[in-house]
Amino acid sequence: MFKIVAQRRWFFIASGILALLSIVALVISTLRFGLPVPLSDDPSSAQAARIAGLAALVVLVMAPLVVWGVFRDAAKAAQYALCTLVILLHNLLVTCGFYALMALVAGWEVDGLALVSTLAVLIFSTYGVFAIFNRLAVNVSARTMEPKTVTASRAVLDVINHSLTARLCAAFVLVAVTISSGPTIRPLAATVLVGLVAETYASLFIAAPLLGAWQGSH
Amino acid sequence: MKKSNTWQFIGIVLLVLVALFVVLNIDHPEWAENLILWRLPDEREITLHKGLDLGGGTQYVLAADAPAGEEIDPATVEAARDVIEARATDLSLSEPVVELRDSGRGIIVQLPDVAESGLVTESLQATGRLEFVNLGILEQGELQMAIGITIETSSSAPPAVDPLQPSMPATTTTPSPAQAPQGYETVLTRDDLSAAFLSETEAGYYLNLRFVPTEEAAARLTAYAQQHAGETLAVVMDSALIGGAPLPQDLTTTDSTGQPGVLSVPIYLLGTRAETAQTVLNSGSLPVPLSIQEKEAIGPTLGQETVQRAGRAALAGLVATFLLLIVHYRLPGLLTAVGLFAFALFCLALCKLIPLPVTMVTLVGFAVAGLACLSGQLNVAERLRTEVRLGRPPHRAVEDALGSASPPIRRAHVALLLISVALWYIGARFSVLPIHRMGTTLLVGTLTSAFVALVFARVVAHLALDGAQPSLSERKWLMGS
Repeated sequence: MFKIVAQRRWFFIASGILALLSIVALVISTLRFGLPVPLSDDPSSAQAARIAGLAALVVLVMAPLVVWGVFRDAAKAAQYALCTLVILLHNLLVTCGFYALMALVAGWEVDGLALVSTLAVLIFSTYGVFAIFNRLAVNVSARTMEPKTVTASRAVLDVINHSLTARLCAAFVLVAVTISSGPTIRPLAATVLVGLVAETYASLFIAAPLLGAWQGSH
Repeated sequence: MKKSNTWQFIGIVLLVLVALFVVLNIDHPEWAENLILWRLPDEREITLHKGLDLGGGTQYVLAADAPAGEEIDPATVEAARDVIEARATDLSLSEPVVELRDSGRGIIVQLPDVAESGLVTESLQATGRLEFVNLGILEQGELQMAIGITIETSSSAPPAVDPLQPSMPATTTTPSPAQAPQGYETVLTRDDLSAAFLSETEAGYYLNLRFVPTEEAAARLTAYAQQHAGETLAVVMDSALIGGAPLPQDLTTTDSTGQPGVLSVPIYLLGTRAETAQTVLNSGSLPVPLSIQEKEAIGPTLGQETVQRAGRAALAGLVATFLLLIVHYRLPGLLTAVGLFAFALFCLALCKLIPLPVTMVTLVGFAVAGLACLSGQLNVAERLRTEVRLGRPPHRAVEDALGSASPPIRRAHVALLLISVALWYIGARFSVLPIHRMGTTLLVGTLTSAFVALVFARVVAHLALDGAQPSLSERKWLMGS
C-alpha cells in the first residue's frame, strides 16, 4: 500500500517550497506596490479588501472550531482543529502568492471578484478537510490496533478516488473558463483553479499525513 | 420499488416539474406569480435578474442644479452621492455603481434593468424635502382627494412644477394674512426629526410615515396640537401633498421614559408613487438638487463578449464533467450527473423565486456549493459501487451506501452553513455587498446541495437500482466493475 504518511517528508518539502515561493512573491509585490497585492482604482476596493480580510479571518477561526466541535468525540480532537488551521493558512498563502505573482507579471489588480474567489477557496478548503478528517476518524475508531500512520494512509486511499474526480470535474470548467474568457473574468477563474489545486494537494497529502503522524507520535 | 420510495419519487418528480416550470423562459401565468407570497404584490414576477456585471443596465448621469460657474462644495456633492447610492441600492436588487464624475459636479449611476424607468427617474431626481404643514380643518375625505397636488408652504421656495397644476383649494377656515402670501404654515421640517421612515401598514394598502421628533420639536408639536386641535397636519414632500391626519388635542410625543417617541402619520400613496416616496424619503434628502443630464443603455460591465465566451466555456466544461462521470462511474456516475443537473435546476429556480440577482459573486457561491454537492454524491457513488461489487442486493446497497456516506456529508454541509451565515452577517453588518451576496448564495446553495445529496440522490438511486438485481449481476460493467 502506498505509504503516504511514511513518505510525508517529501510532501511537506514540496508544500514548504510552494509556501516559500508564495511568500517571496508577496514580499516582492509589497516592495513594488506597497501592498501584498495591488488594489484596483475603484474607491471601494480598499474598504472591500479590509472587510474581505475580516471575512477570511472569521473563516480561519470558525472552521477549526467547527472541526473541533464535530470531531470532539474523536481522540485528540484539538489536533484536528489545528491541522485544519494549518491547511487553510497554506491554501490562503498559496492563493494570495499566486495573485501577487500575477500582479507582478501580468498587472492583475485586486477587486471585489478577486476577494470573493479567495474566500471561495478558503470555504471549499474547509469542506475538503472535513471529508478527509471524517474518513480518518472513522478508520481510527474502527481499527484501534492499527498504527495511526497506516490508518491515515488508508483514509487517504479511501477518499482519493472520488475527491480527485470531483476536483477534476471542477478543473474542467475552470480551465475552460480561464482559457476562453477575457481579462475581467480570467483572474477570478485562474485564482479559484490554483486554489483548488492547492486545496486538493493539501487535503490529501498534507492534512492526513500531518494528523496521522502527529497522532501516531503520541 | 417500495411504497414509501414511490411517494418520495412522486414528490421529487413534482419538485423537478415545478422547478422546470419556474426556470423556463416563458410568460408565466398570473395565478402562478401570485403564489410568491413572500414578495410584495407589485413585485411578484418570475424572472431572472442579472447584475450589472452579467446583464448590463442603464447609465444615468446626474448633474447638480447650480448656476454655471458657481462652485459646489465637494463635501456637498459627496453627501449627494451617498444619498443617491442609498436610493440606487433600494431600486435595484444587485449592486449599483454610483460614482462622482471627474469634474466633481455630477454623479454617474449605473443600474441593472430591474426597475421601471419612470420610478428610477423620479427617485434619482427627487430632492426629498419633507415638511409638516397645517392645512386647517378639512372635511372628511378632502385630504385623500387632494393627494398629489402642489402645496406652497411658508418655508419652501416656489416648487419647480407645472404652474397650471391646481394648488390646494381654500379650506373652511380663512388662512391668516401671515399664511396666505407665503403659503401654508410649516410646523415641522426634516431638520426637526431625528428619524423618519416610510413603511407599509399592516393592511399593506397605504404607507405609514413613522418619525421621531427632536426633544425641542416634540415639545413644540405638543403645544401646537393643543392650540390647533382638529386641524389637519399634512405631510408634504417636495411640495406635493402625500398624507396627513387631524391633530389630536392630547397629542403625546414622548414615550414612558420621557424621551421623544415614535409618531405615525398615514400616507395615501399607491403603486409606483408609494415606491418612489419610500426610496426617496428613506434614503434622505439631497443637499443639492440634481437632474438627469444623460441616460443610455450599457452592456455587461465584464464585457458582453467575455460573458458569452465564459458561459460557453463553462458549458463545455460541464459536458466534459458529465462524460467523465459516466465513463468512470458508469451507472452511479449517470445518477450523479442527474443529481448535479437537479442542483443547477433548483438553484436557478430559487434565484427566480426569492429573488437572487445573478452576478459573478452569485455564480461563485453556487459553484462552491455545487462542488460540495458533487463531492457528496461521488462519495455515495463510490460506496454504492463497492456495495454492489460485494454482491449486496441493490436496495440494500443503496441504503448501506447512503448510510455510510450521509454522516460526513451532513457534517460538512453544517460547517458550510455556519460559515455562510457568518459571511452573510459580516456583509450586512459592514455593508459590503459582495460578501453579503456570497453568504446568501452559499447559504441557499448549501441547503440545496444537502437536499440533492441526501434526499434526491436516495430517491433516484432507488428508482434506478431497485429490482435491477438480475441486470446488475450479468452486467457488472454498469457499476464500473
